[in-house]
Amino acid sequence: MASQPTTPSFDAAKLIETHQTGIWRYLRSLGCEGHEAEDLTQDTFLKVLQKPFEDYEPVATAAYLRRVAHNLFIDFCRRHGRRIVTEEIEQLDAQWNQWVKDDSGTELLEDLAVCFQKLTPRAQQALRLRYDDKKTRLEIAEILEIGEHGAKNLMQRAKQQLKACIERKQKTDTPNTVTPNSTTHNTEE
Amino acid sequence: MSDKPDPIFDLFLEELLSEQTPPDLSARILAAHQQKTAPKAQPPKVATIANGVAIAVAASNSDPCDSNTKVVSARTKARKARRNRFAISMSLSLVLFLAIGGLSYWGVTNFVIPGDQPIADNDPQKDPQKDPQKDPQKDPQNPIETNQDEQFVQVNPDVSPIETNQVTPDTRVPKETTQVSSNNTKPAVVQATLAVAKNQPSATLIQSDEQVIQEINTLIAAAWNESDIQPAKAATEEEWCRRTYLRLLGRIPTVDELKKYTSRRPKDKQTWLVDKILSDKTYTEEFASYWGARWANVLVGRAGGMQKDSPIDRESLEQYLASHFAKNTPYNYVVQELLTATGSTTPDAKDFNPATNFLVSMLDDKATLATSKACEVFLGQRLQCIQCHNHPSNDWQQNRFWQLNAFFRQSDSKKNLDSKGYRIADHDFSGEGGDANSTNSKRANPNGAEVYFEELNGRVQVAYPRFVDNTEIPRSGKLSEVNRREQLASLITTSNLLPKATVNRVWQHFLGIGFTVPVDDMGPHNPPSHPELLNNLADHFAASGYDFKRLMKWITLSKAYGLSSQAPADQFANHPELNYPQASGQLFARYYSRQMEAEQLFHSLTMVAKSSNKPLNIIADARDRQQWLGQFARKMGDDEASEDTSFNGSISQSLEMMNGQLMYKATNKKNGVLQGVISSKMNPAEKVDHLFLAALSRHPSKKEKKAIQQILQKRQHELDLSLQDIWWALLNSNEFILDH
Repeated sequence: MASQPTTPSFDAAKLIETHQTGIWRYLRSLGCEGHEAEDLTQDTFLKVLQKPFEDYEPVATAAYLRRVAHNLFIDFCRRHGRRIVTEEIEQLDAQWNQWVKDDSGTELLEDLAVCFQKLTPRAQQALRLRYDDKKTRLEIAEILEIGEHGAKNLMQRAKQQLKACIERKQKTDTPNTVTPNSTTHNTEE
Repeated sequence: MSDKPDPIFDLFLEELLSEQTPPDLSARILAAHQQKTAPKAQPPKVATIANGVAIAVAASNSDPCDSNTKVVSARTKARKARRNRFAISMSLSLVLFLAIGGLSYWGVTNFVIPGDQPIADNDPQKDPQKDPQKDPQKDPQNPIETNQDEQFVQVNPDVSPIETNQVTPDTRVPKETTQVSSNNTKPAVVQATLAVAKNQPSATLIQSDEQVIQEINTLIAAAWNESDIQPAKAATEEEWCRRTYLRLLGRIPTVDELKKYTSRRPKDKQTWLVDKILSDKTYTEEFASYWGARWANVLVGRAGGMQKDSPIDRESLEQYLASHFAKNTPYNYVVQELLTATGSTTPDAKDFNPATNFLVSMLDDKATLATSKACEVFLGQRLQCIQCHNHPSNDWQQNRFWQLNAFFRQSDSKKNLDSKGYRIADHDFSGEGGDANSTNSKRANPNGAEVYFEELNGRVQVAYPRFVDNTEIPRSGKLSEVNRREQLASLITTSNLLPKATVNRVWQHFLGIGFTVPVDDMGPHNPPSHPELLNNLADHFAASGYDFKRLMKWITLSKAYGLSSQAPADQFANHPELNYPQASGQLFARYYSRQMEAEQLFHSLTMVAKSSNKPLNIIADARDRQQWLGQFARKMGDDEASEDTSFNGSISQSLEMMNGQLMYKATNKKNGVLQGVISSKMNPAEKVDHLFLAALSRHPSKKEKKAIQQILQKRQHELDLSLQDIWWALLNSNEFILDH
C-alpha cells in the first residue's frame, strides 16, 4: 500500500530524536561521508514513517531502523556504482550490536574518552594525529620519528588497549543484554 | 596483530578526537516528512515568517535561469504551435499550388539565384515596413546597389547620440529600414558614440536628482491610486539602512555604520548615506568590487569562469568591470568595449583585453550564444526561442535572430597555442555559401556575406545583418569595408532599448522585481507594469550620460524603495512575488522581501568574521568568494548557457549556514564581532544588544530579551559560550538572511 498516514501510537518527532544519532553513526561506519549519512538518515525515517508503524520497544526499533538504513545504503551503493561487501556489513552489524548497545553510542563514547586518557602520551599523540589531524601513517611516523611499521603497530596496540579497557568497563557496569529484535515492526510486512 | 579496518572504533575515535558531534536532523526530517504528507497544491519556494508576510525565497531574481519554467513552457507551446503551423502550411501550400501556380512560378523565378546564392532572399516579404522588391527601380539580385538609393542614417558627429535617443519607443514612428554606410575606418556612428561615451560632461539631463525622484514617486503613486491600494508604512531607519548597505555594497552595515546613520538628524539623512556610499573614497573599492562581481553574473552567469577548463578568466572580468564602476564610466562605453573586444583573455599576453571575457565563451561555431546573450543583457529581449521558430506570442520572426547573429560572424574565439588563455579575433567573413579563403572575386558572393537558417517547414532562408529596429548595415563581410561587431555596438549603444533594459535590471536589483518579469524578456508579449516610468527613467539614464550611480541614487531615494516590507493586513493584492517567476501585478506598494544573494551573504558573513571596522578591510578576497560561491552554481550545459543554483534553501545551503567553514569563522570566539563583544566591558544585556544590531540591525524585542535573559541566567558561568550560541542562532535566523 502506498504511503498511509502513520498510526498515532507513537510520536514521530520523538522517534527521530531518539534514533537519528544512532542511524547516522551506523551509516558513517558503513562507509558513508557525513553528508551522505545525513541524507540516508533522512531517507530512513521517511521510509519508515510512510508506512504503519508501532514503536514497541527502543532496542528493537533501533535494530529495525538500522536494517532499513542498511537496505537504503545498499541501494545507494548500487546507484552510485560502489562496491558492496556483504560480509563486511554483516560483520559490522555484529560489532555494532557488541559495542554500541541501545543508546546510539553515547556510553561507548564516554567509555572511550575515559579509556583514552589511560593510554600513554605517545599513543594518544599517534591517535590524535591520525583521527584529528587526518595525517597519513607515513606522516605520523615522521612526526614521531619512528618507522611506518612502528607507527602502525603503535596505533593498533593503542586501539586494542582501548577495546580491552572498554570491555572491562562494560563488564563492570550493569550490562544491557537485550537482544535486538530484528523482526520488523512494519505491520504491513 | 589484525590489520583489518575497524569502522566502528574508527568512527567513534574520530568523533572523540576531532570533537565532532552528530548533526541534529530532527527539524529537517520532520519538515521533509510533512512536505511528503502535505497536500501538493502549495505555492513553491515560499516561506512564511512570523509576522505573516509571505516571502519568496528565489535565489536571485536577476538570474536568467530563474525563469526556466517559463522558457520550458514556451517551448512546449512552441512545439504545439509548430505542429499546427506545419499542418496549416501544408494545406495552404497545396491549395496555393493548385490555384495560383502562375504566381508560384513567378516567385521561384524571382527568388532562385544561381551558384551559391540562397534559395530565397531573407525577409523582405516578412517585413511589412519595407519591401525593396516592390520597388520597381530596385534590382532584387543586387541589394547593395539598390539600397544605396535608400535613406541612410546620417550621423552628425556634432550631435550626441544620447540627444538623438530621447524619443521613447512608444512614441516613435515605426522606423523604416535604414542603412548605415561603411567606410574604411570606424563607422561614423561608432566614432560618435565613443566620443560621447568618453566625454562624460556631455550629459544632457536637465532635471535635477530631486526632480527625477519626485517623478518616480508621482508615477508609482498614480498606479497605487488606480489600483486603489494603500502603500505600506515607511521602513524603520534601521531597516532602510540595512537594505541600502545590502543593495549598494552587498553586505549588511556594521554596528558603527548603523549607529552613525541613526544618530544623524532626520533631514536628508537618506541622501547623506547614499551619497556617502556612492561617492566617499572609503567605500569606492568595496562598491566597485561588489558591482564588478554582480555585473559579471549578469554577463557570464554566476558559474561563468568557475570551472578550470572555462575560457573565461572571471577574475580579470570582475576587475575590469570593477574598475569601470569605480570610475563610474558611462555604461554605453562599457557596452561598446564588451561588444567589440578583441585580444587575449590571458593577463600576461601582449594583447590582453579583459573585456574579451564576456564573449569569449560564446563565439562558437555560429555564435548563437553570443547573439542571444547580447540581446538579453543589452536589449532586454530573449531571442533564443526564435532561433528555431517564430516567436509564439508576438510577431518576432525567426529571421530577427539570424539577422542579429550575422553581426557576430566576422569574429571567432580560439585557444591560444602558446598559452592557456583564449583570444577573440575578427576576420573577413565570406558568408556561409562563400569561400572564406578565396581571393577569386568570381567565387565571392556579390550580394554580401550571408547567414543561412532553416525554417520549420525545411525551407532554407538567408539573413544579412539587420538590427532590431530594421537598420541595415552594408552586407559585405570584409573587415576593410565594415566591422560588423562595431556596427552592432554602435547600434545598441544608440538604441533606446539599452537604457530601458538597464533601468529595468537595476530597478529589479533594488526593488526585488523589475517592471517586467523576467527583466530580460521585454517585448510586446510582456508589457512593463509601469511603462511611462520605465520610459522616463530610461530617457533620464541615457541623458545623464549612462550614469549608473545617479540611477542608483534615484531608485534608492524613491518612496517605493523606502517602504516597509510588511503589507497592511488588508492588502492581499500586492504580493506579486508569490507567483514568482511569473510574477505580475507589481505595484511596489511595499518593499518586496527576498533572500540575500549568495554574494551578499558571503560578504556579510566575511565582514562579521573580520574584526576591523574600517570598510577597506572588510572586502573579501575575490578568490575566496569565487570558491565559496562556486559550490552553489553550476552550468546546465545546454545551448542556452543556463545555470542551476543550489542557493535556494537547499540542503547544501543549510549545511553551509549551520556548520560551514565561513560560519565557523563568523561564530568563532576569537574572531570578528563576537570576539569584540566578548572582550568588551559591556554588561551582558549590552553585549546581546550589540549582537542583535550586528546581525539584524535592530535591538532585541522585549520577548527576545526575556528569553535570552533566561538562557544567560541558566548558564551564568559560561557567558562566552552563551553569547556564541546566541550569535550562531542570530546568523542562522530567517531574519538575517532576508533583505527586508
